[in-house]
Amino acid sequence: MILSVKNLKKSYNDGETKLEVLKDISFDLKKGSILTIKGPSGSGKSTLLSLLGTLDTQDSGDIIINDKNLDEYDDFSEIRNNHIGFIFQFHNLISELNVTENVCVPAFISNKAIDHNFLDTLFEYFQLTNKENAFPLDLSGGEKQRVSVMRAIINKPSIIIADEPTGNLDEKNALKLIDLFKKLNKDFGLTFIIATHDNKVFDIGHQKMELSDGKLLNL
Amino acid sequence: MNIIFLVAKRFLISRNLLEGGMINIVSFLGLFIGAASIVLSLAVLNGFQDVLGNETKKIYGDYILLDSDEDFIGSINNNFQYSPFYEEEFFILNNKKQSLVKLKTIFSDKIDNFYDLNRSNDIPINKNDIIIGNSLSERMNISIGDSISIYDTNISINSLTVMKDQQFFVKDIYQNRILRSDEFLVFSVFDEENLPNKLSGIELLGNVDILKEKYSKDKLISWQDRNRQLFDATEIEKKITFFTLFLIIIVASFNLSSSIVQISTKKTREMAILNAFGMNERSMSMIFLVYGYLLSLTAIVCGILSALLIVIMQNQFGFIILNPEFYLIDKLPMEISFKEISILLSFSIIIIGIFVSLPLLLMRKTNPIILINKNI
Repeated sequence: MILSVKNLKKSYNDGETKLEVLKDISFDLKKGSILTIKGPSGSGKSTLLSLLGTLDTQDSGDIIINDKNLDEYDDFSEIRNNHIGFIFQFHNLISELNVTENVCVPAFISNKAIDHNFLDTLFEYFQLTNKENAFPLDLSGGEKQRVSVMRAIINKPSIIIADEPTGNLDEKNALKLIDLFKKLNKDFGLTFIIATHDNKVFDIGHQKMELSDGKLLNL
Repeated sequence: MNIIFLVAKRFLISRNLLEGGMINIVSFLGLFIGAASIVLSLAVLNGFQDVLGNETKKIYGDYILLDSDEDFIGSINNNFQYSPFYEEEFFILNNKKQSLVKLKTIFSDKIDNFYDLNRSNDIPINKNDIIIGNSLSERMNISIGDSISIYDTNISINSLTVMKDQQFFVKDIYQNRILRSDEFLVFSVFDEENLPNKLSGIELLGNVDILKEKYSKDKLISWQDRNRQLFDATEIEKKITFFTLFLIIIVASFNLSSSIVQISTKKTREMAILNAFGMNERSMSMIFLVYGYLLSLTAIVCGILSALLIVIMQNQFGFIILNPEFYLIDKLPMEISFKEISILLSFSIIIIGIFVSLPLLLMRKTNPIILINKNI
């Protein structure tokens, strides 16, 4: 298993009341599979992804990535850099950096030498070879999202976490992105956790779950 | 590629150059002007100090050696010139005007070979001839060719209650207003058949390292030590100028703090992205530290280079003119001191470090991850 989640609980204090967002979540994820999660707004999808991405910490329970419990770490930056890739709904590219620099941000942070062959392959794969030196402001929405996917996979992470990746795309670009996820999963064996409202995205999951009232239901 | 330097550089020089805002421009100008002012002011003070040194050396040499044997000095195969002298205070009298002077008696061949008196003519000086300074000649209405009387300050009176005097002929007038020497210092030459038993000292010009090994500092005295009060005054003036003008850099550094606060607030989203992809807190702080140093050191280095260019232009073309009757020289003297530039840079680096770090300490209290969480 590349990911094991056991009895995960998370709550927030909302004034005097305690709001339980995640209630005893447990699941396992195999390497090279796609997990899609859907659920209504406020069901806890983003909270779950934040915990899995080490952007937030749980109240109780365990998250085990590559057989290592996250409780063993004090600083999660190294885990985020090497084991997790993020794809955000709003792309979140750094406008001051050009496309190549944006893509290489995780590699620059880890001080790894850039694998230029891999980088060239990615640019060809994502059909962005003529945009290497462009800046995010010069890109279309679809291109920005492809750049953010490239950035998520440049360090060859164990898991890619995508939150509403098609939420900000038109239907045509959304379909292209869905195909891209399937292709990446097939060609590179990448593991995805995708939270979405979009049924077309939801359907690509090997493992499909629905989050409702803080509880996870296998579909 | 170093991500810290890359991001800091791109934050500073974005595609829209004005994005950095007025605070950056004000910080840049403040540091630029501060650094340029310090280098220029110190260059002028160094220039005048240099003039002071050169003019002083013209009449006093580089060093004075007290209580030494002239034959020994002459026997050393050396890189320096030397001039034994005898100096004593006298009253000088002319046309009922009286003045206290120092009569410096030297060997006649040293007048033009050792000293640089800027004499009005090159007539040889003999026994009972005297060279006086321009200011003294004007004050006492003495001209070349006049005969003047010189009296010992230890007044000795003969049997007819008349003071003993000695007559001298004014053979020449020299110009050197440094330390007001041309008001009180007069030169005469030894009667080589009747040399004094004791010398006041030996003045030296050139490299005297060989003598430094043999003589202590109270015997071998440099021109700076000989005129310690004046030299110290110029040094203190330089220090005060440095610290006063450094206040400009300190004030500009306050602006720099504002720039850091502004940029760190503006770039919270970018910091959150970098943090999400694994950049740690320390590296995020380093981005703003590098940003601050890039902005400030660019300004300071540009200020220093501009000032150096002005100094070089002034030394080459002399476009700032002075009245030589008042300032001794006809153009503003400027001399670059790389030691002082190094001190300026070191102090600036420390001050900038403090002013950039202060807002970073405050910034660390906000966690960009919380902000990006709201977007995920």
